[in-house]
Amino acid sequence: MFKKILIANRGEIACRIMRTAQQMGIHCIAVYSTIDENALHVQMADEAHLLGDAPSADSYLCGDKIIAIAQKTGAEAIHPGYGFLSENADFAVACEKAKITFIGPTPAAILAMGSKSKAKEIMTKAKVPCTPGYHGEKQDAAFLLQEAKKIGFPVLIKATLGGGGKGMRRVDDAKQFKEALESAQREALSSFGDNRVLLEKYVLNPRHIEIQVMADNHNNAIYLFERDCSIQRRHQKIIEEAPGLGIADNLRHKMGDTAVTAAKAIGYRGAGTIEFLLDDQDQFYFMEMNTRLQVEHPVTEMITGFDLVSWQLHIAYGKVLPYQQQDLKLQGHAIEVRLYAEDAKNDFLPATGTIHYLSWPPLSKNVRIDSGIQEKDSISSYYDPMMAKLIVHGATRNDAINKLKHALQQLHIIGVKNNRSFLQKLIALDDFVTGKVNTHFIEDHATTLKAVEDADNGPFLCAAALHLILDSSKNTAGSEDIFSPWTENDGFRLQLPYQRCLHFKHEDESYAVTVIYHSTSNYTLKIKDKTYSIQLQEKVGNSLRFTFNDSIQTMQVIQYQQQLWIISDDVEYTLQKIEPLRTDYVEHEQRGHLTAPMPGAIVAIHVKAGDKVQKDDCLVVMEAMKMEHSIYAPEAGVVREVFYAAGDRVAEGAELLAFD
Amino acid sequence: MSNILTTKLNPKSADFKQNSSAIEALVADLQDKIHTISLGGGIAALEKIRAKGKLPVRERIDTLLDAGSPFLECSALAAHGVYGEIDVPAAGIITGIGLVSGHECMIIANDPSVKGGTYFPLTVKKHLRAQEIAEQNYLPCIYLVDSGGAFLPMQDEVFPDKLHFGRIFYNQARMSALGIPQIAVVMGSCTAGGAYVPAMADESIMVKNQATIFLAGPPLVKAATGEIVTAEELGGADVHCKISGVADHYANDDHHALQIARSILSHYPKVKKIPFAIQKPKAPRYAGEELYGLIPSDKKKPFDAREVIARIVDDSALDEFKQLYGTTLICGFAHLNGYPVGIVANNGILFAESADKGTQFIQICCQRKIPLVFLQNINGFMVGKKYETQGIAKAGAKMVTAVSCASVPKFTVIIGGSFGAGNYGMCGRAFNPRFLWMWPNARISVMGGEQAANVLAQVKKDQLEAKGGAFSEAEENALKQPIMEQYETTGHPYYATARLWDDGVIDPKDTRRVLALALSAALNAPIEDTHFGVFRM
Repeated sequence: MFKKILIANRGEIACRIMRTAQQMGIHCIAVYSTIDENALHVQMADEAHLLGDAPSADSYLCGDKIIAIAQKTGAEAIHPGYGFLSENADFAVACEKAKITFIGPTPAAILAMGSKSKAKEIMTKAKVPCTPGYHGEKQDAAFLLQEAKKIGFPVLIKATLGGGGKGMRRVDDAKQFKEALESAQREALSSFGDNRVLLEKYVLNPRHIEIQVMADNHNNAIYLFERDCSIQRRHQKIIEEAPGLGIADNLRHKMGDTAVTAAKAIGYRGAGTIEFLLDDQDQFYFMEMNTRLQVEHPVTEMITGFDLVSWQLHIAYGKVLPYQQQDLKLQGHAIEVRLYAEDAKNDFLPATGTIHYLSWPPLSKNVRIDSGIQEKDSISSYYDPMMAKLIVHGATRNDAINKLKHALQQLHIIGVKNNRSFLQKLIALDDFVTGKVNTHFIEDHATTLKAVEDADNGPFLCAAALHLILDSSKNTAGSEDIFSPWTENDGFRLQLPYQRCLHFKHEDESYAVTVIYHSTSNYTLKIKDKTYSIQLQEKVGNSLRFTFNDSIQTMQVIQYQQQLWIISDDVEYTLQKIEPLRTDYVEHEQRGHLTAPMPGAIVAIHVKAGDKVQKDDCLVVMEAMKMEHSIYAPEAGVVREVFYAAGDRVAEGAELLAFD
Repeated sequence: MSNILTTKLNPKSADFKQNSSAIEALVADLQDKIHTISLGGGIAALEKIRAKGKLPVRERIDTLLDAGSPFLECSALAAHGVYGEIDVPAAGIITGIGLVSGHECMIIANDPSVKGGTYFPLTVKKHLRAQEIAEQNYLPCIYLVDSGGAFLPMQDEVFPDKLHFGRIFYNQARMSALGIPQIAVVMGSCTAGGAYVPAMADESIMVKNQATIFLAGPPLVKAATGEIVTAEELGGADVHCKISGVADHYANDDHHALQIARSILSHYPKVKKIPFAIQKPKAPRYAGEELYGLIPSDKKKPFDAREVIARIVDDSALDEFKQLYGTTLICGFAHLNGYPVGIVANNGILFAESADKGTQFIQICCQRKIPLVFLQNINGFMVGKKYETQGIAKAGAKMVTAVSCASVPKFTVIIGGSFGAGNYGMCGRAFNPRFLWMWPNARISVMGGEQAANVLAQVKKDQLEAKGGAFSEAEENALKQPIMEQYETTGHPYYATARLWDDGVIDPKDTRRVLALALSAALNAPIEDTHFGVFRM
């Protein structure tokens, strides 16, 4: 086996690969960008080397630098993970030239599958069913529109070299086509350095079923059953499960055999995934092949009991597949959910920030976390916003769902907006539980998913207030008066009551909490027209136990500056501490200014100084985390000044333009 | 031998219940009075202040202090009933100690709702007393200034003497020289002499369109020179923060100004040093509320001071000194909120032995730099031929010498009577305790009302009998009654506290907490070596 490998990736996948490799006694070399200096994958590695600045183009995409490090450190092989260089044929070639094993398929296979049009050509030849579409080289807009009409709307525009939903647009009628095409091309260019697109029939009520295949260098290939990745948002998967719902054994074998045929058609080696669209008539169409280890590989590991990374390493080392098709048995049901740094309430806009608190559910052979994050980490806009994956395994799908519910309740990533509670709502939907899923699942259930439950927030406000009360009065740092009666926080007054008012904001609602002190642990809290009697029982670290009228509550309160997060059972409740009367905190009026909602790059500016704009006109297009975001005029007016040009990088909150 | 004090109090007994209800009534009355006083010039006056965008003085203090910080207010009942028709709640000035950015600070805040925050004689006295506490205990001073200056009709009792207005500035300069920060927040007018408060401060803050500082206001200027000028033009925040340099910080409103003061204190780098080992505080084994049941409603009845100590000190543990000697004075070592203290408590009339014992104990505490807590309940020293010839005056003098010279922090609580020379030996106001409080049941006078009446009746009787006359019982009662009434009035805690003979009347159950806060505050100043005067042997 290899003695030393380099992992050319970051985040959870780098950690995931290292976990297996290190268990196999392999010395692991990590690479990192300047902002990842303290990242978990760097800490886990046996040694780590700096690649360059934060942008991927200066770090994780620098194949030359990575190969140079591999050579310098004597790494025998490079595992590319997923994303970055994992499906870059040039890099695979460069590895070969440098006599370093590329843990993945041959460059030819990557190349063949990297171009969607070419892949379809090959598959059609191999008699693998494909969706109708246009995969040609001719890219002029009028022609593509013709082709789209030929295929019949709705059609999907996809970046030829694309993946992960980037550069992908659904078009429902001819009128929308031009704008969608331009946008898809622009995104394709920025994400893959190539603006070519292809067109595909948009299959209605489709399910996204993919087959995991494994092939060795000795002409053996097997399939490790399917995964159902139908639940997606922005064309990106967020829930994956295995096996697929309601997939009968004969369909499973048919799809599996087709996938093996496809893999063999290109002389595939290593771990790969054939993606099919499955319609409600059990017809399936080849979509694409991913020539890498997939994000969702753990669900396959759960239902087969195999470690796919270990297989990858064995295959790359030239060994024969350890099992044959008939040895494989499907065990139980596994579900993975992806935890993204994003704002589910705001069109899944990627979020950035610092993780102030992190807690995972208790891990076991049935509950697994793959993550690359730890407390105090910053989530930047430079890389994919996926922070972690939670994978559960149960005897049945229902069992797995129950385990998932429980695990999500105990999982908290505090400080960065994330999709945890969105996932909780999602897996609680009846249609999810009964398995009525398709790729439009989230759009179809948008109303239910967006509904805000009107829970009694009294206990949360009380916990936040209690946290602040206990955190108040302190002697100066270094005081030797360690038991000072001045810091007892009871607001002691001679013959007079003491009360104070705390102000909070939750979303758009403001709350004034009047605290009447009775002792160092006993308070009356008044919020709007309600009165609560609070008695502190115990405070251990962030955790508060207190009587709340006639019940006992245990909550965690995490504070970072003015921001508070209250965790109770499975609920995460956020509050902003406000000081309404403090003039030095008054925010200046934002009117007349448009600021960047997140850090990113300016893609296009549609206006110039002096332009008259109408409300909702698109003024600026930004790109962050490989996604485009348009900024619209909040009202009609005249642009006074534009501060940036296309291509500029901007920080969150940067003033983009002024208008009157 | 266990050092844990035992109790003989029985909360189920009729005595206890009777005592409790009597004290409860006193405490309720105290609370009621202080609640009224806390409204300053009254609800309408406070509303007027709010309407101007200003905060009432107590809210200013709450905003200035760290959230949840205690506020050890001084003499809330100052001037209560002193100026006849003119009601001057809290003497128009709120003073006390609280935490500001982690530092124990003395807050001195004018109440503009009371006669425009002007200085009555007792306002000056209260201001100076607060400065004295600050200086003795090295507490940074924060002056929240909003005052029209001297109350002119009484200027003769406010302006000229040694301990009158000028002393405020003398104190500011002296404290600044000692390195005790002097911060002024000007939140209203600050005229004439008052102008020196911010001007003398280390740093001063002014609220725009609200604060003014000038030596002479617009009317006086017009009269003197004919110049017509508005208050704002003459001495507003814009003038003083931007042009004259009389003030240092410019605030938009009260909140902002108080935030600036907090910020200033956050940059005060002093670290509090504790000069002795401290322990983790332990609550007493008996509830402080039980003190209500201890104090006899009949003032002639004695009560056991050990029962009081057991409800004040940590774990109710007292290691007595000379327990078997001079038993009318209890001396012993204990901890209070973890701080070591020497307790000196009356348990009967003072004899020569008790005084000698007290003297020796005070000497020990001074040698070891242990703070002293005096619990006063004293009718005086023993009288009579036997005791005079024994030289009880000599013994008393030694104790007074020891108390006078002791440089350790001293704290006095008058828990019962404070009569005659007993007041001196037990560290009365004249002996510079860092703080002195009274319980609402206490009495203070040169002697008890009844004794005074008896003495005067005896003198009268002797005079009449010398002339061959007689003094009937009715005549005697007629003579005694008004004397006793007068003593009852002028020896009452409200009378005493209104005149600042103490730092406040406290609820007995708060005694431990109040002592703990004061002890802690006192430790901001280093404990000096004690040098005793000549002891008459």
